[in-house]
Amino acid sequence: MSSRDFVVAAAYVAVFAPAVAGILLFARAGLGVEKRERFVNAVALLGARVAALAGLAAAAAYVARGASPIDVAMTSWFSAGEYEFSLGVGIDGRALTLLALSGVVSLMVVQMSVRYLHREVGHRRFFALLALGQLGIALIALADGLDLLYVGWELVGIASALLIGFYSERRTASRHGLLAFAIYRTCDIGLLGAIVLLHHVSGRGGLPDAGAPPELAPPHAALLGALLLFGAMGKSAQFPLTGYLPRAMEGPSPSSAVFYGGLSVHAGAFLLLRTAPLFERVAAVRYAIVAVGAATALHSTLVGRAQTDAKSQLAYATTQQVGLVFVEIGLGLESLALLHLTGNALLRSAQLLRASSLLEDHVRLEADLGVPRQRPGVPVVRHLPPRVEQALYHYALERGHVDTLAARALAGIERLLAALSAADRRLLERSALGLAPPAPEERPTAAEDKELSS
Amino acid sequence: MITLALHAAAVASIGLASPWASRMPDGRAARALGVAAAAVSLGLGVAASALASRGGEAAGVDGISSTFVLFVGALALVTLLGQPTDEGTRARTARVLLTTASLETLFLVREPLLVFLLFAASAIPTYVALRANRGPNLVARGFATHQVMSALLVGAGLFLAGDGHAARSAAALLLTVGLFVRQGALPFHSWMPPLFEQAPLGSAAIFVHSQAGAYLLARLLLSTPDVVPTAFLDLVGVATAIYGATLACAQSDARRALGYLAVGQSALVLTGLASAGVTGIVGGLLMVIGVGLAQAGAAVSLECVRSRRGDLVLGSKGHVEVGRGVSASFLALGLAGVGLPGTLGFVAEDLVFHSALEHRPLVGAAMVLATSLSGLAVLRIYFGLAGGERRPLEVRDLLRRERVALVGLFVVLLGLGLASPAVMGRMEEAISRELAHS
Repeated sequence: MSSRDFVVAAAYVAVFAPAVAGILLFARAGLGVEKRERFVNAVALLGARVAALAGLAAAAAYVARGASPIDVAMTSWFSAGEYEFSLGVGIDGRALTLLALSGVVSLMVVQMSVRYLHREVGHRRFFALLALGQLGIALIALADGLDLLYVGWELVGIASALLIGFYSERRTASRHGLLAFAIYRTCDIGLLGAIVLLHHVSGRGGLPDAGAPPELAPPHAALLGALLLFGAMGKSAQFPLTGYLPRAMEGPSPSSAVFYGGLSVHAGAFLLLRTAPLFERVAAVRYAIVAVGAATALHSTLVGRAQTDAKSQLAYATTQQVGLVFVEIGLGLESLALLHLTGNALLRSAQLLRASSLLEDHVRLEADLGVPRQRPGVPVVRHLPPRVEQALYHYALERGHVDTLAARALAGIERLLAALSAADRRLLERSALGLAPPAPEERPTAAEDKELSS
Repeated sequence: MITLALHAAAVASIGLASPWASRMPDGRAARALGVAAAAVSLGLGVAASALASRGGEAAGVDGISSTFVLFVGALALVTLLGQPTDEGTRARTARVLLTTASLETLFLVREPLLVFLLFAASAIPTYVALRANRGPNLVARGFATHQVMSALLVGAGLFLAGDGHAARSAAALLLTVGLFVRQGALPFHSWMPPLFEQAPLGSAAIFVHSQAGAYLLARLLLSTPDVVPTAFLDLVGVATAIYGATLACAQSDARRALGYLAVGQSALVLTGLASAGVTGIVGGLLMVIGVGLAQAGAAVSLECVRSRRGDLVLGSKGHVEVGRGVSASFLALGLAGVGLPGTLGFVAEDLVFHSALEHRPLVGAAMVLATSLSGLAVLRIYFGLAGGERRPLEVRDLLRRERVALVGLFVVLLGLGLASPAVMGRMEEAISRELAHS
């Protein structure tokens, strides 16, 4: 087996391992086979270990053979008329970094979840959804075109929303799951629009390699870049969509670690890295990416400091760093962005996994010492004039008023939909059914009143 | 000849079982008879299709017809397997079988008079199901008004078709509007959500999701593509898709929400057909099958929830949590109905989407919005159903027959999606042939 074949085979194993684990778990649930924790744990662990090993092996072999990109031409999934859905896979440094990262983070999370979810209702569902999410990330990593990338993108979105709503007995969990999904779907319009545009102007959905000459005219490239940026903002919780991320922590901590510390939240940045050759020569798009990233970093830095729970603090710390990754992508520092993304994903996943036990440790430590533990460092805002400090504090406490504005807008949309729905119902019940509406009771006139009373 | 005989036997097995079902001693026996008849019909249909694909195609029965006969047989099988057992089971089974038999025959014949009669007759069992409701029956009357209007327009279109361009155009316009009514396109959508709300979900699902209107519209487009107002088709399709998906997100009753989802998804088929090209028509017809089966399955899983909980109000406080299998089956099939990657619905949506953007990019962009909203509506229904208080229930999770119907259907949709070239092969061949002739 040549080194090229080894890299390709190992990458495929990293994709198929979580897929097989997920299919096994979903199939047993579908068939109504009694839940056995040991079996579920064994399947999930095996899938995660194989995927992690294969991802790391593929990355190591890729580096050993000189880090030259590999294009794997595959047949189409389906075709009709002149259109075909290509299953092309592109293996390069970026793809293998995300693939290996996904394997390592998922293994870390699965390993911890075996104990964390012991005897929990929905134990099997959790691992099955985790495998689905990992499969989605692997497809995003390896896709050589936007069509296949969208498949992975959707799988990640669905798995993520369902894991937020994992504790279905909590009404807030369902609400936050739905909120995250609504944001994903809204921003998916950007990605789907980009697919539409790319097919329309280039006749295919394939992505060019880094450094390849531009294929699109500047106006098309600018629009494509804007659509991709909008698509990336949802998954990566960029300003002004940052507020959903702390709410997304409603699910079990391990799933928060894998999705909102590690993989899903970085998928948007990866999308921009992967598609950068399409718009890298359009300055306006790059400035827009820098602006969005910088706004997110600033907003998250401020808001994160006023959070009172560990998960929310970590959520804002994550978006702060992802914002900086966006800035790096916009500035064309793609290698740095990839390194930053990897480091942040590993660190935040580990922090989210450790958060609950760390708090417990601190409580014990303080009890043993008999005095509150000293917080290191002095916040920068303390050096600012009091009025500015107060204004910033209010901004942070109110999360930049973004959530309030969004809540008002949502309430308005809800009212509009309710009115539309009511109008539709009246239309159904009165006119569209071919029946005259019940005649309103006519009030007697003053003269008739007199007549009646006499 | 053998192929035709097999098709005839498939229809007969379903049609003849209908009167028997209403005379069975109880609901269980009626359902068993219905399921057996649907399974036999499906088996015969598969045998006929296999023979046809080896060169034994019957005269007048092409790949589109035979695929649609199989599709309606599968719809009947799923709805019959999933329906609950109560005093209405016998009548419901008989009505589902009768609707199926009339639709299967409609898909096999080409004679205008027969098409008109079967098109009109296929609505009667559903009207009877609605009439069975007590109280002032506005929905039944509204349903009847729309279906009579649809049948009259289609009938007029079929019989007015002449040789001249003007006559053909007038006939095509009448047919298109008549079929819009049957498809529940704006502004003729008003009968569809209350149908889902008040009719037995099985009857509603088989009548709506069989999409006889889309089938006839595809036939019309294939025979006379030059006179069908495709721009009108596109516009109405996209407007209805967005409207249906938006209102599906705002309903407090799951059945009504499913009705609006059906309005939206039926309309997306129109945008596929409007391209009048191979990709769009194949995508549109695949969407009828993939989305129709998935949404019928979702309707059956809602019926499972209703039979356990008693209502389908979304997000009501203090309602009882049904089994995870019941709500998960709704989620899986609901998502398969809005293009879950891997399923047949995804393949169909992808084809319709690309065909739309190739011909009218703005329509493609509007479709993106409709699809996003539909997915949101499905998840909203799921979260509204999945939560609740944990209380002991006599039957919490899926029964074996429900599991066979719902899990089996999802596996079939996934299998058909992954092996979609095999599914669309004969249809694509028939469409290309007819487009070349016209």
